[in-house]
Amino acid sequence: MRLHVKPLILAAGLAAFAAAADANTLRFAEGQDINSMDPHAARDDFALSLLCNVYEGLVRWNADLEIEPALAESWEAISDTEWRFHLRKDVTFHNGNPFTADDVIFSYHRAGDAGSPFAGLLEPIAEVVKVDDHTVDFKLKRKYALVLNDFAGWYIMDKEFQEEIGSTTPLDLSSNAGGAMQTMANGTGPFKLVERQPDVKTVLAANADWWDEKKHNLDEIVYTPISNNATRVAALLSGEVDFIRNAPPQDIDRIEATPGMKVMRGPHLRTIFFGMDQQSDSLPGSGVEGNPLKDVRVRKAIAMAMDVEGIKRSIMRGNSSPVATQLAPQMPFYDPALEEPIPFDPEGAKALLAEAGYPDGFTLTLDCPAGSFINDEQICQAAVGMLARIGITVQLSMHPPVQYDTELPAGQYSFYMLGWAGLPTIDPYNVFNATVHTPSGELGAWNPKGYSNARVDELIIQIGEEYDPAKRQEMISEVLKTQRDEVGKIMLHQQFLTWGMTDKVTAIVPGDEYTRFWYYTMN
Amino acid sequence: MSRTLASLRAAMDSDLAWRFRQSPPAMVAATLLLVMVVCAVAAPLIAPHTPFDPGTLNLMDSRLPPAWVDGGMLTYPLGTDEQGRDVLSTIFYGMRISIAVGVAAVLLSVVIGVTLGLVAGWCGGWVDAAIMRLGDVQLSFPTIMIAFFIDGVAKAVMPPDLREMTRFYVVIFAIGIADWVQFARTVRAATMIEKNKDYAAAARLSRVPGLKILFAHVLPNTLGPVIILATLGLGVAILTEAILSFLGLGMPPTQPSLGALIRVGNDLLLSGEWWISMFPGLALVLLVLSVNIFGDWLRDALNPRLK
Amino acid sequence: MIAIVLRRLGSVLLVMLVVAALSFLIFNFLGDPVNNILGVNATLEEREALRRALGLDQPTWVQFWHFLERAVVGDFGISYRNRQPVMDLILSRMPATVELVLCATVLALAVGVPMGVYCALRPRGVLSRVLQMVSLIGISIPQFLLGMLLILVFSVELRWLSAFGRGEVVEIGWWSTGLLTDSGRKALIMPVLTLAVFQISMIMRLVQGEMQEVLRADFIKFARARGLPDRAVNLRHALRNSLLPVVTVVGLQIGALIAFAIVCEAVFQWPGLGLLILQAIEYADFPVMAAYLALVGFGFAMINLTVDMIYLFIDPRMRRK
Repeated sequence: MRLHVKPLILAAGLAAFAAAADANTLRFAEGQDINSMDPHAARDDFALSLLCNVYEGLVRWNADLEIEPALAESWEAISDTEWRFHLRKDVTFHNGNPFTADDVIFSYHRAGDAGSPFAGLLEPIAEVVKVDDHTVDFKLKRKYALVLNDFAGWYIMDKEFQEEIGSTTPLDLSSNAGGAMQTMANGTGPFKLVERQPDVKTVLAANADWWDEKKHNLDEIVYTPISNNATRVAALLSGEVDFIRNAPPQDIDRIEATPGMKVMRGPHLRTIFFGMDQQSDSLPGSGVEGNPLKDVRVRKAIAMAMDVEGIKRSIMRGNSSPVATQLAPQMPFYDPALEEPIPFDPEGAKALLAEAGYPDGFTLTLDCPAGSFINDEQICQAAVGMLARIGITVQLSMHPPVQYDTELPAGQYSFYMLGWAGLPTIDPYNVFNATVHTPSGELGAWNPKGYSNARVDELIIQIGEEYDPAKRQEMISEVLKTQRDEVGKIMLHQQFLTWGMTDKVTAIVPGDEYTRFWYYTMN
Repeated sequence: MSRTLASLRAAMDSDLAWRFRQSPPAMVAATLLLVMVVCAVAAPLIAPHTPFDPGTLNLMDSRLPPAWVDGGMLTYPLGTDEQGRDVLSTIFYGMRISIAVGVAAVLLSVVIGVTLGLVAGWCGGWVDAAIMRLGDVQLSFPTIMIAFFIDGVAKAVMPPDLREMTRFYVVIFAIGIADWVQFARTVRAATMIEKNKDYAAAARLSRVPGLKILFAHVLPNTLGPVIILATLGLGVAILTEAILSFLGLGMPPTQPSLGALIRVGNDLLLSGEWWISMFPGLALVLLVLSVNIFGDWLRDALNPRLK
Repeated sequence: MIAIVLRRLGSVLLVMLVVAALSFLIFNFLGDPVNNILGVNATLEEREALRRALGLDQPTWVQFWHFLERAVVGDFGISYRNRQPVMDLILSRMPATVELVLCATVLALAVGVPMGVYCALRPRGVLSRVLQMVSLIGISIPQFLLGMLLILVFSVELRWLSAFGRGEVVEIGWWSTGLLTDSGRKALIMPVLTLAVFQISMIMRLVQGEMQEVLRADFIKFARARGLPDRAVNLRHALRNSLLPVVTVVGLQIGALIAFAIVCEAVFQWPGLGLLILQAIEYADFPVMAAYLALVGFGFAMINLTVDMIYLFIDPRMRRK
């Protein structure tokens, strides 16, 4: 028997020893692993926020979250419904294959054909035409304002390579093709996949042939999922990892007080809110006739009962900011005129409930994810207490994120926590069409049985089609104002990003939570 | 009245009581256990706060340290958690759930085990063989593994609206079903011995129904070993529940057992708020330790081999 | 003797059959393979076609037979979550857990047996009483609490030991081990200690109990009466006879360790089977759950069989029966 001995490098010892190494290895830990290396497998913000280092789109978001050219050098509008993209020449995939128009068309079909998770994102596109090897035309079905935004979240894959490994459609359980994408990746990005053991570790190495000017000085990135929060923070504090995203708010002081450690902060685009069933005629188990949540006074009373400042102080430890509408202030088209939240006023809330005909309150079930949002479990528990004070009895039901993400859109919850950042589009249109529009087909998928207003629905469609920023702003403000006045959602807060790292690391902390490692440096 | 006194006196003078007074660890453990059980059972009456009446909570009072530390308040002797709940009170309520789950699970094991053991021992033949084979199969799995699987599968398949409400019973079932074999084996052995004794044969001849013989004569004779096993099993059951809760499979945060309290507190361990996880942890260790010491003593005291 | 071996084998087969049946139930009825392959939006015809292709339209016992056929060659289907063959996943995670459990067993025996012998020989000594108390605490403290405290002290405060993972591992064929590197051995310390504390206490109490009983036996008294030195009596006769039941219990305890490793792996992010099954439960990944149940059941049955065989080998009375 031949013994095959191959040492693997993993979290190479403690920080003190690692510093001696010449290579800049960024050891990075996160609460979960990505589900696969397939960038078309799911519209999963978390997976894409890491895969952006391996794959690239035609355009990309820069450090300030502005669109900049990536695989396309330039583009122009031929008409209202037709775009021409000039592709960058001399770009190669990690395996050496050249990048051409065929790869773009292949990636369009792989990601956009019916049944693929990205079909909704690419739905406005009617046809993709190859003009020459480095020019592609996109024909739209109708006017659509967010082509560039959407393209930043649609990654290009290598046609030849994907055909070779038999993975021409996103993850498919009936074949083994998905399995290949679990441990293989061939993109054009600044880092390439070297090694992957799902749920154990993923190693990326700098791509020496990257087309863009290299600003980072990383040689290698070792990514380890550590699900237990305390263990993950302990790994940072003990110097076994250099970087954790989303340091729990309670551990920030500890990290900052540790010599050689720091926390980088930034506002998150995600806002957290409670959605409500405003469609059903009755609310089973509520103990009252009809559906109290249909009454705007009841919804307002619930909003008034929320001590968002208290949550900020004791649960988020200062790392959140109360919001009045679903748009975080850093989001484009944010309207500062609408930033006054509904004030905390439990007495007023009680009076309002009585006025609505529920002086003795009623019973609700609050469904919450355990681990999707920062301190979600604690926030929901606190909400139970706050609602109890105005007479609403709340049964709290916690779910693992996986169950939550299938049961919520299926309309199985009537009062639930949700957070939305509008990724990868980074535009109010994405927020609205997913969580505000009345559910119908692709629209309103995360607003089941929820808020519904015909005028708002109409505006949302127009916001998607309008090119003039001033007109868009007007319509967006109207949607926000209407929803706020009708208390379509109970708004809580905007999360803050708190990324813990050693002093050796210099990172950027963008509002969409993407780890753009090509901006990172280590010394 | 005098009869009660007399029987009390008889109990005090009994061999068991004498042995108890001879063993300081057993006395300490029993006292501690008694105190904790009283705290748990009477939690709604004696806990300084009502931590699970959400209406009384105040986020203003969250994360206060224990009273003797700077910044602590006497109203919250062991400090408060993130929700502003009094840690001492959550421990009382948590113990209530831990003990309730542990006792109920052990009772379930006892009922299943004793029933199957009686049936197996009394009927013999293929019934006996089948039950004992089943026991063999189950014994080749550690109890914690069985509990883990039942609990995990239940969590995965339960519809969302039932998931939370049924937790308590699912956990009891998962732990209780896993541990019946030892009771069944003990009772079966005792039953087989008793069955062949003269009085049982005589009773059968005088047409006393089998069930009556079982309950009136056989069962009381198996009580001693069953009590020992149950006491030792209680410690294991409480620990098993804590493990399940720590893994997020056991009790939900709205009805936290000691294990669930530790799970939540675990996230706050590094931030310096050690009291939120350490006091429930201490309570859990003391609870299980006193059960185990008492169980050990009981085994030694009732075990004729060591007399 | 052959009869005993055959009876044992029969019992193992029975265990495996029951386990396989449970595993089949989880695989086929809890996880709906059709829904998971096609998604909820598929048409009725597509569903029917796939049901036929997968053989789900056949009688249950035929399906069970096919399940057994596939299971025997290690085919448990593809994980819903990882989209990899379940067997590959399990094989890649197994070395981590096996290494953890074996190290903990060795440690538990190395510490537990001498402690038990000492306590049996000097039951009234001060050290014995201390050890007995410590062992009681050892079986009363939940492992996760111990693990958390170890991380707090040795990783965070002192920065001596790794809080997570296996450190550097060396691959030998399909096996991987952390025992050959410094960081790998260091990474083992805390998880092994956490896992072993309960077993150390268990074994100590067991050895002590058995040995005290043996020391009262006639043949020991006789040996002493013959004037044999204490050392020879204690070690050659008493200890040897007390270790018999210990073998059985240690065998069973290895099974328990595999179960307890789940907790330990969750605390230390140890990339073994325990983490795999925890994730499978969270994601309702039924093929992985089914395979884990079947394989762990098989492992337990094998351990039990081995223990019985060892027993048969070292206890001459059993052989004669």
